[in-house]
Amino acid sequence: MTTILRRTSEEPDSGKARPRSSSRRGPSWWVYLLLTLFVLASIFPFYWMFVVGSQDSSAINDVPPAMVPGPNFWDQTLEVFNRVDFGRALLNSMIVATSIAMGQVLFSALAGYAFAKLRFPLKNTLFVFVIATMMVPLQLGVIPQFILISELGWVNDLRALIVPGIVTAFGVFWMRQAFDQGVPDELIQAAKVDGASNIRTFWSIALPVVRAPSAVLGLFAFMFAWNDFFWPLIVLNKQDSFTVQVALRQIQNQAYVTDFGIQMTATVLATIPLLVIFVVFGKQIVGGIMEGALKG
Amino acid sequence: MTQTRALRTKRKKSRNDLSGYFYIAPFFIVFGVFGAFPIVYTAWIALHDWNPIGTQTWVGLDNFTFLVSDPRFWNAVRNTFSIWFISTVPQLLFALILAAALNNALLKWATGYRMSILVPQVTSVLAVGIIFTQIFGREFGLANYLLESFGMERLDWQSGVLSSHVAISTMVMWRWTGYNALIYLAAMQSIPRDLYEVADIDGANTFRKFFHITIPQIRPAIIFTVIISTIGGMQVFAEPLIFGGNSNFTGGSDRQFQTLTMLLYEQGFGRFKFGYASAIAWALFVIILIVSIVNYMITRRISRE
Amino acid sequence: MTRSTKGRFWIVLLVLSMIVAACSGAAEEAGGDNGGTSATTEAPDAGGGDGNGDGTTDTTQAPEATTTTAQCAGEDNVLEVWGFGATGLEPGMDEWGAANGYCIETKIIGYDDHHQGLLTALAAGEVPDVAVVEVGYSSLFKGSADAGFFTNLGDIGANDLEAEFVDWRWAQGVSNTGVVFGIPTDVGGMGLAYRADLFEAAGLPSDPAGVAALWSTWEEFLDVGEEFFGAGDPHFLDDAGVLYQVIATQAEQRYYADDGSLIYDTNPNVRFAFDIATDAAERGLSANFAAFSPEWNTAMDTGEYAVQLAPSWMMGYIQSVAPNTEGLWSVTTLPVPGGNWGGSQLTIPAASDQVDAAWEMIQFVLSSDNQFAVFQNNGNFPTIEALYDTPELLGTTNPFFSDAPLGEIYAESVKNLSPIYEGIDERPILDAFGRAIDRVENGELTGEEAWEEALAEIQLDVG
Repeated sequence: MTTILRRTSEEPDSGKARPRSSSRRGPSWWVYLLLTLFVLASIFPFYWMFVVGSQDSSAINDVPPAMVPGPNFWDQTLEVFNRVDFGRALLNSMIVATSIAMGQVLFSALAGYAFAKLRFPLKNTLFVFVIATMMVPLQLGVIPQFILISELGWVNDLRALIVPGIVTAFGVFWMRQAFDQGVPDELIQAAKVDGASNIRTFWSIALPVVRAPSAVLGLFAFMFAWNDFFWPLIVLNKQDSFTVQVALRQIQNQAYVTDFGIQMTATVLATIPLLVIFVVFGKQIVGGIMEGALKG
Repeated sequence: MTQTRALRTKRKKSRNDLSGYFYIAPFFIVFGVFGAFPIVYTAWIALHDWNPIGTQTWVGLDNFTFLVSDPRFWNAVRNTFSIWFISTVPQLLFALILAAALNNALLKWATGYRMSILVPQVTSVLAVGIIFTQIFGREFGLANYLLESFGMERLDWQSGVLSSHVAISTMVMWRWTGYNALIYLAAMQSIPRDLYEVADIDGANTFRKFFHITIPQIRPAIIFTVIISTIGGMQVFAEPLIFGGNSNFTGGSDRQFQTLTMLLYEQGFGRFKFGYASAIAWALFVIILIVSIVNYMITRRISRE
Repeated sequence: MTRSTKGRFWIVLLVLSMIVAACSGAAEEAGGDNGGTSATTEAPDAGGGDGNGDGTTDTTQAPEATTTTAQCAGEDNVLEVWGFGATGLEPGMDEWGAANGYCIETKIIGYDDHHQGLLTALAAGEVPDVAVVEVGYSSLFKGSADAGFFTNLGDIGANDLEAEFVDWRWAQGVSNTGVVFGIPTDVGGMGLAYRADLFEAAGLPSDPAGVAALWSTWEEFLDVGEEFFGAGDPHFLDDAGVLYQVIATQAEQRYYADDGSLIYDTNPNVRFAFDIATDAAERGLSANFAAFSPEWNTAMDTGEYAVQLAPSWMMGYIQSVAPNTEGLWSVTTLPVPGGNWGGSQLTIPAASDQVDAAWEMIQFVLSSDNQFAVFQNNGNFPTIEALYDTPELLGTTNPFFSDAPLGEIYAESVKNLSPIYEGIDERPILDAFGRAIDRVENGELTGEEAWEEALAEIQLDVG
């Protein structure tokens, strides 16, 4: 039944899109076996996080390891919320990660478009510079960066995370690639012939074409911002500005003997919103990739 | 027809468009303030004996001359390259295989597979660390359990050079294989169908098609992933740190898995020697630069064949 | 298509409703608890260390007070406190705040995260009003006390308090030019915790006095261990590195002479401590668990070793990770008295604008009464000498540890030490020796080779 539904829902799709596959035959059983193994390896730690999060602390050291969720998840969830203002932390993380994701897509798309499709003096030199910045281990810049943030008065302020996080060399690199391969020069030329302004061409013609890689970049930026803890730990010192990862650290260090149970409960709770985003947008994103977004 | 039009377009496009600066300005301004300034400052610090909450004395290039003679630095270089190599090569191969397996329109549950292999990217590093430390534990670890059930001797994964590198590489591979696979998949999806059809007529088998059509066609994607995993691999930090446990920057009792970024942290945040740490940062930068260029050239040559 | 969209919809709805439910549930909880200062949910006398190996006991209180930020709109009645969660002082701070109209905002993060964050904060001038500095890091921060990054508490009245505190612990909060930058919160004085049941099974006495009489030197300690436990299962010791760390503190000097010159390579006690530790490793007496690793915790619970060198805060640690061993442990004195493991200082960064209030609060939480309360609740041993003679403290026992005379043992142990000059490189030197001992435990080096390697590394690193 499922198979039939799937078939009917996907077949017309593949008909109108460009040819999607190198083979007309369905995959053989070993492909499924291989994929199943990969999938199990990928999601097992995630599952196990929940298993440990639903048990008490000692379960992590059980031999053989626990494989089935225990009864404590709900109690430990309450305990997490009891120890820190976790709701507030979730909200803060949501604000930070959303802003960074949106900003990064916008700024990277702008710069990527220019590097891919416009001509201006020193373009290649500037692009090499962008790539080079990826190679510098940024963590060491943390002290001058922090001095800067405190001069701006942004300590304990979410802007301290959002503004520096909003541009990345990776994003520019990625979007340049997307525009370069996804948007034919003819399309831009045609728009110009039709009298579209430069920015209008970018916004209405080129950007929609690279929707899928933009979404991928946005999702990765979101996940990265959500899971980042090194910098937030330094610039956020007050409870009402804590992001989820800083709150997690607080929970960890209140139970001085690492209480793996509650720590994992908190980690699961911190990952749930990410998972929701992933489930909601993930299909579109991997679907987007399917449509041949990042063309080789 | 398309051909001529493309030619014409190229010619027309050749005039400069200064509005390009407007597009790249936001990136360069924000990056200039929050990225470049700290980096340049780092170069300045590297010329000092610099304790951020103590004394700061100008020492010229002393930090760099010490670096060259410091066995810990070369040890970290060795470890970084070894972990990078052990993790990157199988990772990209697995990703290629995975992408090839996913690249089939008749594959059932395709979206499910594609999403599942991205799950490692969502999982928090903290959880990953706890789980893998468990797997490679000396006493109760799953890896040793498997070794024993195959009749081999159990290993103290942490204390050996190679075994620790393999364990850390496994963590890196686990996190990034799915991601790379999706990039390859995306590239494979857009290979024109007719290429394969022509090959079919010529009677080429699956493997021939894979090596002579698929690989050359997804070359840009391969270069992209190689560059990204080189840059990431040279800066590998979280995995070895977690593997060492107890937030220990030294990477094992004989520094057997201390990477360059860990040494950088040890000297900076562990010892407050920011001058020396900055010198390490710049050395790392140069190494990444060289490796990326070499990589780029090799990858281009290989995938062109 | 419709089907899968629907499925996704339900998943999202389910997850979202879980989150909403969790939030509202927690809000109720928090609301219910707001009245009290200590909504503790853990064992009241849990103490312990941190993941790094030289921590002390920890608070188990939920930071209720920090959620009351709404009342603290103004900045002038807020005290910011940063720590790594080992001092057990938070309830006392809240108590002081409530009585004096201050809100205490605590930020408790990991041991290394905390100290490194403090470094960054000091460098940028954006500091807390009170910061905890653990002894493992205090030698590094001493230099910055000289450079003016901490308030010299000696200028605002600390000198009057000095006489009340154990002198050698007090000295750990004083820079080498005499700036008093921190007041000691607790002492990691040492005892010897042992599994009475394993001792009995091995044919040894199991009462504290009988065990103490088994040995009077570290050499005898190892000999007895080898005779009765061999290299087998269970092991005699958990970790040779701990042995080194403790014995190295049992002298008047360690890595530095009193004039600040390095003597790590010539100090006979350092060599002695190293030899005892590597000897134990080579004879297979150590189970080779890294302290604070998950495996160590498990081994503690499953009885894989018989003896644990234990500071006072370790009592709480053992109770927490080894609940199945209740009543099986006992505690006696070390073969050679003295030694220290852990402890912290409270400091006031110079850039704080609340120096006076912060100082008032520190005096309150480190007062004799409050320190005794912390000892009772968390296990941190007090730094005020007068307490060591009080019957209340001396009479402290715990059924988990077979009612051994804990108060007496720890009070006795902290009296036997003298101040040690600590230079800036204490940490890397200890670290290098520790890793060398580790390699002997792993069977990679002999004790002699390890000593040479450690010296070479320290030579390169420190000079």
